[in-house]
Amino acid sequence: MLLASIIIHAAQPIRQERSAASIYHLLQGKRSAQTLQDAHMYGLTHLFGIYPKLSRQIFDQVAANALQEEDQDNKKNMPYFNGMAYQSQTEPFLYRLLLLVQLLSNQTKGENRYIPVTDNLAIQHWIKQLYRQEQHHLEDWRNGVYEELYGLLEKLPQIQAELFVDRLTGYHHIGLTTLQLAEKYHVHETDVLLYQTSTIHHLLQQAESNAAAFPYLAALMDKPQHKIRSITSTAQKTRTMLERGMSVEQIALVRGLTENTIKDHIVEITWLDGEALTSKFISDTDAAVILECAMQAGTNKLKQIHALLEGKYDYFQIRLALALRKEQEVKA
Amino acid sequence: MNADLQKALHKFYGYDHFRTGQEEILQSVLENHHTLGVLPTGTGKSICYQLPAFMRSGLVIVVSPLLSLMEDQVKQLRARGFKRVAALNSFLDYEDKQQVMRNLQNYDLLYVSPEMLQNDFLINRLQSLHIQLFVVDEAHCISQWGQEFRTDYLRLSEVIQNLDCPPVLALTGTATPQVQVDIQHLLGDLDMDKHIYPMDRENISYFIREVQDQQEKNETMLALLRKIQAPTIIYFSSRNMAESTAGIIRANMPEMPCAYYHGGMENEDRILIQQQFLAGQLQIICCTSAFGMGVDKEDVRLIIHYHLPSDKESFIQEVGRAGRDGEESVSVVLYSPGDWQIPIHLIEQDLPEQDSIQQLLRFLYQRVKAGLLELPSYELLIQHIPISETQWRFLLYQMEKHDIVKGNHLHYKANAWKEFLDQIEKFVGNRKRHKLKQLQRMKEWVYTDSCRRQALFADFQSEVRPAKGRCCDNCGDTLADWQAGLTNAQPERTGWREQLYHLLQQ
Ligand SMILES: Nc1ncnc2c1ncn2[C@@H]1O[C@H](COP(=O)(O)OP(=O)(O)OP(=O)(O)O)[C@@H](O)[C@H]1O
Ligand SMILES: [Mg+2]
Ligand SMILES: [Zn+2]
Repeated sequence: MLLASIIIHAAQPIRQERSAASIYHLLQGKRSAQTLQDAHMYGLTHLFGIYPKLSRQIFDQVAANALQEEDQDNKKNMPYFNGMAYQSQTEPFLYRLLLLVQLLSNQTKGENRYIPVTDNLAIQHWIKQLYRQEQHHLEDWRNGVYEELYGLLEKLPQIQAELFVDRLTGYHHIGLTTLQLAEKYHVHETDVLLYQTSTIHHLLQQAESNAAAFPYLAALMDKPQHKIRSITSTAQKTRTMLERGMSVEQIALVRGLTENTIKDHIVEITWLDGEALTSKFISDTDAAVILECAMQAGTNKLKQIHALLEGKYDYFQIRLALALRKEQEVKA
Repeated sequence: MNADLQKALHKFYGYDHFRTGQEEILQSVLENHHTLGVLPTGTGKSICYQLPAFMRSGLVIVVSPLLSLMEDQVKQLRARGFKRVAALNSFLDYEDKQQVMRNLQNYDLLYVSPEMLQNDFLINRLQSLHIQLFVVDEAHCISQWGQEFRTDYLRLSEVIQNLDCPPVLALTGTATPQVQVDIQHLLGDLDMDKHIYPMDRENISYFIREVQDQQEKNETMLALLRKIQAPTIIYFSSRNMAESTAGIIRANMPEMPCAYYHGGMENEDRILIQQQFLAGQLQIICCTSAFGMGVDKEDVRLIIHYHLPSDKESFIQEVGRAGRDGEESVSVVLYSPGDWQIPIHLIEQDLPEQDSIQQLLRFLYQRVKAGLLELPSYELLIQHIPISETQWRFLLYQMEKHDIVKGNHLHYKANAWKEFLDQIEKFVGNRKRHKLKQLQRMKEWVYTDSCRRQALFADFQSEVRPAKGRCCDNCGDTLADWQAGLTNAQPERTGWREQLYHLLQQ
C-alpha cells in the first residue's frame, strides 16, 4: 500500500524525535510553524500537503500497521512528489485540466450540453475566461493538450497513467469515481488519490521547468489575464474610502449604508483580491488560528467556528479569515 | 389551443405537443391563479413553471425538497443554454450563497430549499423583486414530511404572505384527495384552481416476489437482473445494504456495470455516478431514496424494491423513475416477512419518546431557573438528552408553535409548559398512528390478491386506467416472456492510450 510506504519513508528521519501525529500533519499540509519546520528539518518537504483530505482515523490505522512491519515495504520506488512547491496548486490545476478536457472533447463533437465535472465556481470562471480568449484556437488546444498529456503520462508508471485517464470526463463518457478506480485497479482508495497527486506534481514540474515544450499545460498554471470576477462597483467605492484611511463607521455614515453592508464589501474584496485590506481588521496570526479551527472542525459554518473559539473573534473576523483561505486556493 | 404557448413549447424545448394537463395548468398559471397541479410522475411537471419563467418577466421561485434534485435541474437547464437559473441551499459555500443572493435580479428561475426561505436576508432581497410565481414542487412533501423533520415546510404560508402573496403553483405526482386538501390548507388556505389528472402510469406493471430470507432475496434479484439486462434502479432502506448489495452484484455479474448511490457520498461522486447512469455507462444503481424524486432518465426499465418504503406515495414516486419514455417497464418488489421491522423502526426513530420530551423540558426548565434563557445548541443538548437531531427540530418547531420558544429564547410559564407536555404527547401519538396506518396500507397492498394496479391507485383517484401491456402478477401476468430492448452497452476500451485518444482525437 502506497500510503503505508509513504508513512514509513517519512517515519525514518522523524520518528525518534516526533510523534506519529507530526507525520499526519505533514501529509495533510497543516499550516503551522511546527509542521513547516518539521518538513524542512527532516528533508520531507516533498511530502508536505500531498493528502489534504486524509482522515485521522485512516492515518492512525495505516500507521499502526505500517510502523510495525517497517522494513518489508519501504524499498519500493516512491512516486514523484513535490508537496512544498505544488500543494496549493494541485487541486486548481487538476480541476482546470479536467474541465478543459471535458470542454475540448465535447466541443469537437459540437456538443455544448453537458454538466461540468466540477461545481467550483472559481474553476468554472477560469475556464470560461480561457474559452473566451481562445475560442478560435480550440483545435490547437485539443491537439496540444493531447500531445502533452500523452508524452508526459508515458514517462510515468502505467498504473498512474491508467488512473489518471480513467478519471477524465469527455464527450458521452463520464470519468470514474475514486472508489470505482480503486476497484478497477485493485488499489486502495487512499492510494488512488496519492497516485493522482503524484501525477499532477509530475505534470506541474515538467510544465514549469520547460514551459516551451509544454505550453498548453503551462498555461493552466497561470492566472488568467483578467480578474476571475470583478468587484461590484459599490464595494469598489468602499475600498477606495478604506484606502484613504477611513474607518468602517465613517464609511457607513458617509455613504448612508449600514456597517454590516460595508463589512460585506470588505469580505467580498478580500475574497477576490486577497489580503491587501484585511490587516486592519485581523492579524495574520489570528487569521491562522481561525483557519486552523475551521480546518480541524471540518466546517465553514460561522456559528460553529465562533462557538469553538469561544467568541474570541467576531463573525466579521471569521468571515475575513475564511475569505483569505479561499484566496489562497484560487491564487494557485 | 393557445398558439403562443404552443410556440413557446417548441421554441424552448423543441416539443410539438403538450402532454395531458400541461396546457391547462400553464393556462391557469398565466392567468395568475393559485393552482394545484397533479400529474403522474415523469410526465412533465417542470415545464409548467419553467415555461412561464422563460416567457414572462419576473422571478419564478421553486421550492424543492431534495438537494440533488435542485442541482440536477439547474445543471440540466444550464446545459441546455438557460443560464438565468440558480439554486440556493444550505450546502453552498457562504461566498457562493452571497453571490447568488446579491445577483437575484439576474435570474428568471430560482430553486430554493424550504430551509433557505427562513433566511431574513433572502426574504428581504426577494421582497424588492417582482415575483411572478411561487412554486412548491413535490408538494406532497408538505404533508408527508412537514410535520416531522422538514418543519420549515409548514412555514411556507408565512413566506408566501411575506412576499405579498404572489400566484402559487403546487405540483405533485402523488397526492390522495386528503393530501390535496392538506397542501391547500398548509399553504395558507389559498383559493386554488385544481387540475387533478389520473396518477396511474399505464406503461408500468407490478410484481411481487415473496422470499424467505436475504439469501433467497439476493438469488431472486440476481436471476431477475440476468434476465432483464436493462437500465435498473434498486431501492434499499439503508446505505450499508445499498453498498454491500452493489458489491454482490458486481461480483456475480461483472459484465453488468453497477454502482451505489446515497446521501452519504461526496457530492462530486454522486454527480459522477448519476451522470454515468444517464450516459448508459452504468446499468444498475443500488440506492436509497436519495436517488429518487425528479431523476429523469428516459429508459429505466426495471425498478426493484429490495426494501419497501413506509408509504405508498414514496413507492409510487420511486417506481415513477421507470418508463418515462412511455415504453413498457416493470416494478418488482422483493419481500420477506421480516421486512416490516425496518420501517417500523424508522418511524419510531423520527418521533421523540415521551421520556425524552420530559427530560428535555426538565433540562430547559433548569436553565430557565438559572437565568439561562438562550436556547441551547443541539451539540450541547445531546450531551444531556438522548434525542436525534430530527427529533430536536420537530420539538423546536412545536415549542415555537406553543410560544415556549420565541426567536432564540425560552419563555417560561408554568401553565403553558404543562399544557405543551400534554398536547405534544397526544400529537406524537397521533403522528405515529398516522404513519403506522400509512405503513399498513403499503402492507395491505403487498398482501392483496386483487389487481395491484387498482389497489395501488384506489386511494388516489376514483378510476384506474387499464394497463397498456402487462398489468400485474395478480392479474395472471408474468415476466417470463418479457424482453426489455437491450441498450447498447458502451464499448470497453483497453488501456489509457486508446482512452485518451478517444477523448481528444476522435
Ligand atoms: N410535452 C412534452 N413532450 C415531450 N416530452 C416532454 C413533454 N413535457 C415533458 N417532457 C419530458 O418528460 C420528461 C419528464 O419531465 P419532468 O422531469 O418535468 O417530469 P415530472 O412530472 O416533474 O416528474 P417527477 O414526478 O418524477 O418529478 C422530461 O425528460 C421532459 O423533457
Ligand atoms: Mg419533477
Ligand atoms: Zn392487475
